[in-house]
Amino acid sequence: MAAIASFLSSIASGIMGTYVVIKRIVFIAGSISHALLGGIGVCIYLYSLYPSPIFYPLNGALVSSLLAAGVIGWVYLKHKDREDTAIAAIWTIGMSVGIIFASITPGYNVELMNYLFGNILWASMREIKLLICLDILLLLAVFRYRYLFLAISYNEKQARLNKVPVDRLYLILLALVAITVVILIQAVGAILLIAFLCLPAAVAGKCTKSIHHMMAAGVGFCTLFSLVGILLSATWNIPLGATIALVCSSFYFILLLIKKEP
Amino acid sequence: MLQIEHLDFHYPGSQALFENADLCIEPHTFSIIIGPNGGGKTTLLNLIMGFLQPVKGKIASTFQQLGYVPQAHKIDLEFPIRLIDHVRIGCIQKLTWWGGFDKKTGLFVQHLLETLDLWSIRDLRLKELSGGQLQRAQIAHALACSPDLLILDEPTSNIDPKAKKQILDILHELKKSVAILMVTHDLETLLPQTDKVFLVSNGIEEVDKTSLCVHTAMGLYENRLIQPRKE
Repeated sequence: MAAIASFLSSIASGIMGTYVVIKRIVFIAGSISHALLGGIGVCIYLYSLYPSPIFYPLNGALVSSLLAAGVIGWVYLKHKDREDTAIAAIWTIGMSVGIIFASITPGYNVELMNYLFGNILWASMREIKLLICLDILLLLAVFRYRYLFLAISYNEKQARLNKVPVDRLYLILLALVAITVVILIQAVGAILLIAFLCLPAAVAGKCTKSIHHMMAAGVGFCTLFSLVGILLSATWNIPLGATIALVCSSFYFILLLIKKEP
Repeated sequence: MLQIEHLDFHYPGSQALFENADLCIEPHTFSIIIGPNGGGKTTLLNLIMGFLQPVKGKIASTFQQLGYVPQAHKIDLEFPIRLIDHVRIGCIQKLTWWGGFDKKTGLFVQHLLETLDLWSIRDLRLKELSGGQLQRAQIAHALACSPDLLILDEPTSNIDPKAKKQILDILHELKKSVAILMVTHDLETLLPQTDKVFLVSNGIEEVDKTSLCVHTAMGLYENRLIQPRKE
């Protein structure tokens, strides 16, 4: 089950991580990944009061991450000079709301800890099904918009001259990043998610020529890094999410040292 | 035709860059913009392309599609894109419903790359190209949208004389089908094939080409280019 969840997470990470790296929106992805803790905290609290499937934490994560992506996108389009402040504000609001609601939820909250630090071994069949659905949605969207996303990532100004709806596409891209963050949160957790989303794609970018090759290599590196992480975590009995993040970072820095730029 | 009338523009909190400025670009003409750094050349291009709005005055254009070649140093060479994909995204308006390109567009891209002598290196990344190849790649990208006005921002800066000549020959050929507006410091090289010359230096002034030739030869014009003109 863990291997399947790793592979499904790697598909999302390899593909959307490529856009996060080339569009240079790493900190936006970081902000969204922390903002969704607010939704998770609220849902955990509500589920303790009203145990209904509507209040499953992943539902809260999806809603809050899409909301965060929408707000960041709006600030980027309307008040570009304040984008970094808005990113920081959303980052902290999400975490604060999550912590407050977790603290008022009765009992020790192991579920929130899993979302904070990740535990792919904890993925259930229901979550695997959700991952499959979200992966299919991502693949279809990226296939349809691949050249349009490439155009707005490469040069927004030239894309606008070519009458590309840059603003609408940027919001769609952020929404897809938000969905990806929800997919990945189980694997590595909100705190370490950025490493898993960006570093395999960055490693792939060093070894490939085109964006499509970068995506394919990114999926491969993500799968490899998570499997190595699972192996090391099981061997040394250390936290899985942190191990995967460390494996990603180590490969990235090793590659920086050995790969000479032309 | 592109017609700018009584244009006023200033950045918020700054002095006026243009006051009551006029400019006219006709189809199938080669116009160049010269002027000192900080004189407003790139601002003028941004106004023409609609990325900035005039404070006062009118910018009217009958050109349906603009192509733009930015300054070489503004290109992100680390971006993972092959030359052929770089030109393809210039044709983005020809995307099919499934998000790809049809055979006709593929042949158009091939023809464009062959014309600019880039077909054999189509799979290279931008950072693997020489300065001249990179500028031709930028021109191919700008031409991919079939523009009727091609705007170039210093396309011949920082490239060797052979590559410069190749680009100027291409532009000379292009003049038959599109209007060209180019920011440049290569005044002497370009002057023979230019129809209009605009001096942009805290204002827009159309300069008489004939007198410019004389002044350039005498080296007098250089003095005027170094300092922004004060009205």
